[in-house]
Amino acid sequence: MRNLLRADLYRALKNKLLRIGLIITAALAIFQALVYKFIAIISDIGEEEIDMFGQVLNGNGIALWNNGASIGGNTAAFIVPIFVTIFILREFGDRTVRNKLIMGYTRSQIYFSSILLHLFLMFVYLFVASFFGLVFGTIFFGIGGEITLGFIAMIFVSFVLQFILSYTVLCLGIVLSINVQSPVIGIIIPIALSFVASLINTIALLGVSGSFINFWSCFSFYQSSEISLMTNITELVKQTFATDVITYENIAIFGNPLLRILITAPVVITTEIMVGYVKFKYINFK
Amino acid sequence: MDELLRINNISMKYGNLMVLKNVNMTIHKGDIYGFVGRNGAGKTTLIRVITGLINPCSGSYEFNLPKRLGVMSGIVEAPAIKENLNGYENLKTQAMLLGLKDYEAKIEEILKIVELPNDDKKAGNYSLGMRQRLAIACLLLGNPEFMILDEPANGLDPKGMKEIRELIIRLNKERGITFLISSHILSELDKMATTYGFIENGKIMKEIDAVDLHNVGKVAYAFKVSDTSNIKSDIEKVFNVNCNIVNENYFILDNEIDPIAVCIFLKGRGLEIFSFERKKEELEDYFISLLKGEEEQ
Repeated sequence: MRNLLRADLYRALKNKLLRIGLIITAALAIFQALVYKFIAIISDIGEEEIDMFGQVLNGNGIALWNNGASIGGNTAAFIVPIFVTIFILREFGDRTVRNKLIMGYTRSQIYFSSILLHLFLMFVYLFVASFFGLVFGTIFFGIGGEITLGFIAMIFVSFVLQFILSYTVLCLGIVLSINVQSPVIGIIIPIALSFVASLINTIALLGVSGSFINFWSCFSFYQSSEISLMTNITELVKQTFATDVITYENIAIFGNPLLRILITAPVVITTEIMVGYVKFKYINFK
Repeated sequence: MDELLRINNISMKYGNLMVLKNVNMTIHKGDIYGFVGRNGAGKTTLIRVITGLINPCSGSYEFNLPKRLGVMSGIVEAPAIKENLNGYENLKTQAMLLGLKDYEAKIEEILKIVELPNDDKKAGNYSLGMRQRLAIACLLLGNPEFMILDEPANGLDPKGMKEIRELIIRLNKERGITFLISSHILSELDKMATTYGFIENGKIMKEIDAVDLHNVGKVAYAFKVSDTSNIKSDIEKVFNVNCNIVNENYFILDNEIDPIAVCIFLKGRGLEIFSFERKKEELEDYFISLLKGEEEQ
């Protein structure tokens, strides 16, 4: 499997698409920070409101400085699965997988090395996005507080959560790619998914006052705030349909949101990976 | 010769369509096995089964090959090369996949074997023939004992076809590599195959050694004379063969005869003989006669 990883990594580094994807990711992180800065300027809001604005952007009350990471992270979470999914689909398209099978690798070796490779690519993308988001967030908004160990730890936690989120969407992309084996559908699905989630986010923003439901919270485990997926949905349902269908208290298992993420995310990711594996093991390469 | 691959009763269906029906096939070590069939006959499906790309509905296959990476290799439908990489980089990727350590010298050697330059030209800019040779080069890195080439002549110009054919023959002779080559370009297979397998509608119609095929191939003689009227019955009577009159100048005798005796006979009838030619049934004719037999059944 080490040979597989080495060869795939070599090909990935030589891949123009992935390099372009990295540039676009960095550019989007910068652009997003610029847009927020522009909104802050034209809104003519004061320090406190900017801080509030930062909290809204971040959704978790971390100071503005950290918004850089959040901005970058959100960008990466959106764009990375798309680029990496295209990369995977090209693997099917250019018969790389077939070549590996014919030369004697098992399907398990091919699949799990692919999962590890994409985990690594995901990390690189997210790092680039967060780095540029953080740098430009700092330039535009300042640090906005004291840099303490806890503060840095929060940035790190934010990065980890973004990573988990993005990897979950990416795994979904992998499963879809294996199942559809069609570049067009494989690319459309993550974009459509992101679009639908953004739409939900917009509706939520319009409908919920006092608490921010960000787009990713719709996927449950990305929530470093006090709001969990089910509360979001509950809030959303309550606000949209003016009815109290579900109560958070009835369904909450873990009180700590971080704990919820750390437990649900591996479950979701493992499920996605295993569904993809079972499919890959028996798929016919026509 | 030792068996290298034995296929036992493999069946496969896509949806409700049976594409392979109890296929049995044997390939021996050292063979260049020409796998002949029309488009859609089941050639590629069977190749996909034995390369592990698809799972058959029933049946089994056994390889008599050592267990190591690259011992079997193949090109199914199109070469698995990276268009954004040059020839050397493509081979380097393959060497990494195979876990080779000091691969630089080996890559150089293989590039020479397949007569490809070691330059910066991307594989995407290669001609079809060059791509095929690069793909074969990638396969050679693993020191294969068995190579499967699905329609290797597809899309190649005559020069490209000749290059690939010569390469295959050379690898078979010099390195002892066994080949399974599917094609519907029979004239190409005819020049290299040592054994043939004929497939139609998912069934193997016949497996035959190339020497045997040439022995069973029918012989015919085509004569061009000044006049063919009124000679049919006499020739058939004297020489005990079928005489097919093509037109007023041509007739064909569909069996081995003494052409000189026929010429003397024709001269005796006052006819002028312009030419005669001995024709042997070729692979194509043999395949067509098999197809006819299949259709009649």
